[in-house]
Amino acid sequence: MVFFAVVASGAARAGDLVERGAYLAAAGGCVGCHTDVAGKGPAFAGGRALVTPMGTFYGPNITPDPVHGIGAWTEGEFLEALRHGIGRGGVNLYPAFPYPSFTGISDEDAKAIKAYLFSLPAVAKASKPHALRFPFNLRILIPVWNWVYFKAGPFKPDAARPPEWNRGAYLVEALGHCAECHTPRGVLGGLERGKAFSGTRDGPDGKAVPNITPDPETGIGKWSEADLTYFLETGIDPDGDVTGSAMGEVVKNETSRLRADDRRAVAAYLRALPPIAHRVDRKAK
Amino acid sequence: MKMTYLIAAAAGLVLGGVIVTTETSAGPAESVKYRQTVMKANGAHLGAISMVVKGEVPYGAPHVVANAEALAESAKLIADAFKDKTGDAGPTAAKANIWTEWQSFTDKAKTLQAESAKLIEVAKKGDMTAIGEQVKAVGGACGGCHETFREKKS
Repeated sequence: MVFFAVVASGAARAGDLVERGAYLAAAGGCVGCHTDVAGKGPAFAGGRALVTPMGTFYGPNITPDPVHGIGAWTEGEFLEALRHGIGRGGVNLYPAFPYPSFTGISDEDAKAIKAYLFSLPAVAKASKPHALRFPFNLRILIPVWNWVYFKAGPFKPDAARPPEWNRGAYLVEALGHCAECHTPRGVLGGLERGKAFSGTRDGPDGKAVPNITPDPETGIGKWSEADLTYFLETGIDPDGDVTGSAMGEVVKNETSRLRADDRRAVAAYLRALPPIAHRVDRKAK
Repeated sequence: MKMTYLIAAAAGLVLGGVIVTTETSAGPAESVKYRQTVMKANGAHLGAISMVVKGEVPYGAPHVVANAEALAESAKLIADAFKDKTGDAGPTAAKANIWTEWQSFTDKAKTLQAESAKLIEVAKKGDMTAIGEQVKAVGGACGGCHETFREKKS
């Protein structure tokens, strides 16, 4: 009897872990880059193209298939990929996989995400090799890039700020990896941290990405907190326009699935960013 | 006399033809401007609905009903407004696949009609939480089409 109770509660705990991982994986938007949406491919089985100035990256298969996915990865290996961008067998992953953001994810959350991914059906579909220009096709150069641009380490809360701001910071900076698209990059693809979240004309797939700092003229300084949480939930901006493009996907897969308190935390953090005047001109008017 | 009728009838046909031609051919610039205006109207109604849902204005469910009715009607114009491909160049965010995947495009426009029609019914019951949920579905219909068929130029 005691034995059954222990097993049952163990199963319940595993279920909770998977459920928590599902929420965190949604907050991290994993499905977006790891699913070939255009080709209507199976979820998390890879194949989505990410066109960058360095060439085209293809999100790999992260289903638990032991050959083509990450089924053979240990928990330690999974954590190492998120923390340091090092894949199984010590291979350097490209920072198109946003480990510079994911390094901030807590071990507890990372383990839950792994448990969720490993609960999914395994898909035996080979990952597509990246098609990169020279010299970016040389993985041996990634440690150099890391040395210049990458700072490893978990998210550290700021005790001087309220818990909501800290939760928002964690969601925006680590899990949500918003900076990866909304912060401009230098020639070698490193984020220009001094211009964080001020938008760029050269975002993924050659698209412009808007300034989301609270600058009233060139950013979202005129948006109220309700405007921002409503947009994150529905994709509807204060003009009644509905976002399509990459952000449409992010709203659908990620921000609309957040709990309301987490969306408020994201809004609180973004609204407290230093405003940066940087016009991106995303609309042809 | 019969000849006169015949000439009059022929003239009528020619004249009618001219009038018909005038009606069907908008210039490319007008064509683009018209569909942009229709889409802005859709956005304006959704924007007004959103202000009510966010509680920024006190008009409540009756205004959601009226705006949703207008949106459901206006959504019927989308297919006509985009039928004319002449204006796929210049200052437009419309992607060329609208005309190569016309069926899918018009299906998505019909989804917007259906979701906004559903919003009318939900809003008539007056429950703001349910209204908020259905507004999300309307936004999803807009965004689902924009994702595939719209490309904002920088």
